[in-house]
Amino acid sequence: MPTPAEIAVKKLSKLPSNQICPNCGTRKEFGFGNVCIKYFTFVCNNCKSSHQAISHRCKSLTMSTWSDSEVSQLMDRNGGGNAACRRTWLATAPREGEGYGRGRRPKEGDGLDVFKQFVVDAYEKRMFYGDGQTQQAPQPPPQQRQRQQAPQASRPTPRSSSTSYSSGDVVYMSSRKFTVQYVSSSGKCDLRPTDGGDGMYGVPSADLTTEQPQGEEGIKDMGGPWGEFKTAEETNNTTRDTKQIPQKTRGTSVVSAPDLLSFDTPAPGVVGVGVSYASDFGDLLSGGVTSVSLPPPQSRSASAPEISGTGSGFDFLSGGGGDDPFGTTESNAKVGGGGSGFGFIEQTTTTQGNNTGLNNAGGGMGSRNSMNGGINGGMNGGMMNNGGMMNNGGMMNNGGMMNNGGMMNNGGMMNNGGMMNNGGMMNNGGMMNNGGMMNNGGMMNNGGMMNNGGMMNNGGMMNNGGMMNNGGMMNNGGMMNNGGMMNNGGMMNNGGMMNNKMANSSMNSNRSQGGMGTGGFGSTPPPIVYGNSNISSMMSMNTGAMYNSQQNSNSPRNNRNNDPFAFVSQNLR
Amino acid sequence: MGIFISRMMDAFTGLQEKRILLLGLDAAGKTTLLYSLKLNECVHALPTVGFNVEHVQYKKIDMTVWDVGGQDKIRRLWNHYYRGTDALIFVVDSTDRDRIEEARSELHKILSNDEVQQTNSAVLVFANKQDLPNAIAPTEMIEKLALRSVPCMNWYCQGSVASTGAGLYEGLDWLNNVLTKAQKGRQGGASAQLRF
Repeated sequence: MPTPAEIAVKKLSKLPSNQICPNCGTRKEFGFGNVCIKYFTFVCNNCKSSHQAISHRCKSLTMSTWSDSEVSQLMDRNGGGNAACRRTWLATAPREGEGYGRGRRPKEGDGLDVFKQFVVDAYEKRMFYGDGQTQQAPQPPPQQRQRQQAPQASRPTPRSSSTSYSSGDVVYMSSRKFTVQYVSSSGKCDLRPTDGGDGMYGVPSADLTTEQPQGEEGIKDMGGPWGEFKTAEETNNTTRDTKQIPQKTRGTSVVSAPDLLSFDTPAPGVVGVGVSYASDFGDLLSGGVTSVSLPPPQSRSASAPEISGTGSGFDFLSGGGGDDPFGTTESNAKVGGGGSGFGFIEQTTTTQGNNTGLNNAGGGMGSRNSMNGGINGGMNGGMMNNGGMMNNGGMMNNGGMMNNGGMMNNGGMMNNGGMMNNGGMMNNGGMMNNGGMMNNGGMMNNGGMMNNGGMMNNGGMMNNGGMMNNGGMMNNGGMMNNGGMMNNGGMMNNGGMMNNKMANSSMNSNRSQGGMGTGGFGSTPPPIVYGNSNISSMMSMNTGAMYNSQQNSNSPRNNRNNDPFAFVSQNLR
Repeated sequence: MGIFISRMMDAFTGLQEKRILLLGLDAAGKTTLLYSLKLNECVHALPTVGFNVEHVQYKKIDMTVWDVGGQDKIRRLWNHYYRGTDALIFVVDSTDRDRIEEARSELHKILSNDEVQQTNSAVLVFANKQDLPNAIAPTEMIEKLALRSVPCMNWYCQGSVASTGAGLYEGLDWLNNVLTKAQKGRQGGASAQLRF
């Protein structure tokens, strides 16, 4: 569960000035994942390695804990962030890719040595240190230089005099196109992007232009102070008059998902296995979404027509907001894109940002592109389709079906109550619970703990570093490495090679055609014997497989005394 | 079958397979150390999400080294890796004086774990990044990490530079000795192993 400080630092990382690495000008739309704690900058991977090489401590946004004081130090008004760094540490540095004295400033794609040399020169030798008043790098292109000078010249006086906009004007900022929603008396504008992304509020009008910027250079001229920057939700929660922001969906609250989706059936009924996490999962879901308990895998097909049908009166929460179970309000508008009604939102633009809070209490969330970068802390009661890459840094709960066509990274905790299909690669660094069926077409890496209550199919390679519990049937078409502990309550088929350190299994068959055997094996001969399963199991069992049948309550039929091979294996160990 | 035969061969040649866990705070140099051992070259590591596993053969030991990410949020996953490890390598950034206390508490937390105490016979501490100025010397590191208060376990503190490989093999020499002795000591107690 992300803390407020972690949400705040994530938000800071997405400020336009912090999307550009201070040293090399690399731009990352979703914000960098590393912070150099010594200089309070958001840096790219190469610069992070360079900083670390000379012991400048770096922290990860998602994998480190953040305190309020650290976050406040990262703000521009407290001298942190990339803009401030460019003003001070890199005040007199040349432009990206250009040479100075004995080296050159790195740009994206350079070798790491260039980065390291520059970081040493800039931060250890203070070659480019300035007084913090001038902002030399990077240079905007000629046609924009004029407006770039405006904030500098007028600082510290308010920057409202030169330009005035009114509602409905189309303006450009950092190469994005916005519509002006509201202009305050102090000359600050509220902007809504035309591409449906996150709005910007309280932006000084001096920073805007009516000209369309040209080329990539146009992006780089926004190193100015952004102390007033707020995202939509934050602004909404403070004192601003929300009436000025036309939001179709804002304020809609929790809907009665359980009725529509027939989610009121009991927790996952996985046959023969005591799935202890089922109740945890129910608790998690019921934290904010009334009582969405999980449907058993069998009933999912029955409820599917309702999911895809035209359930009328279903209020789709695209804007998130009001009843936020986590007490955090990040912008959800990106996900929803203004859709209403029941069904899918097909979003062709990139859905970035933080999907925290209650996203979809029962409809569907569809994304053709990617769901990325942020903290996907929300809950999805229906179906989620993701065509691209999905990164999850926080906690994600999905009550229905999840399809992912590309790559999925999970750094935090992911709960899935229904069926999960993954067409590409799946990395799991944290904990993953799956109540239903999981299909994985590519490679699956699991660093943490994985619980699967239903059936798991894996078409590619599976690495498991932590603990894996499987309550149902597991099919593996490729290679499986298990470094941690694996409990299998049902039946396991393995088509390829399996290396296993520790396993518990009640019924385990290994169809290895030319492949290697298995580490864990069932002690009770299964009623259906596949191939030469137990023989080959035994042969490679002496890898040190450890095996706790007495303690394994999940497989009641598991009685190791019936298996003469169990002792063989342990003697060999 | 192939594995079985190779295991039998190993039994004749005396090669032992050991499971080694590589832990430490983030940015201590664990991944750099692992690949320095494995590839003999300095890789530029990014923060490890999950883990890296490599087989490293040194003398008569075939080590399966598990390098687990050390960022503070994913340290809670360490305990999934404890079971069945033969030795622990703990890497400390010697220049990071601010977090030496954090490293000490993490190390003692690991060593007080039951599973670690059951099978783990040795802990090797690498005082890494000795090439940088202001690094804590290995002797001082013993004090800072309170290694002398570690009960019932062999420990050894070795200065190292993971990026160049300096000091790594000295540490592994010690580990090799300890693990070989531990193996000999265990042969008499094979029946006890059956209790699993």
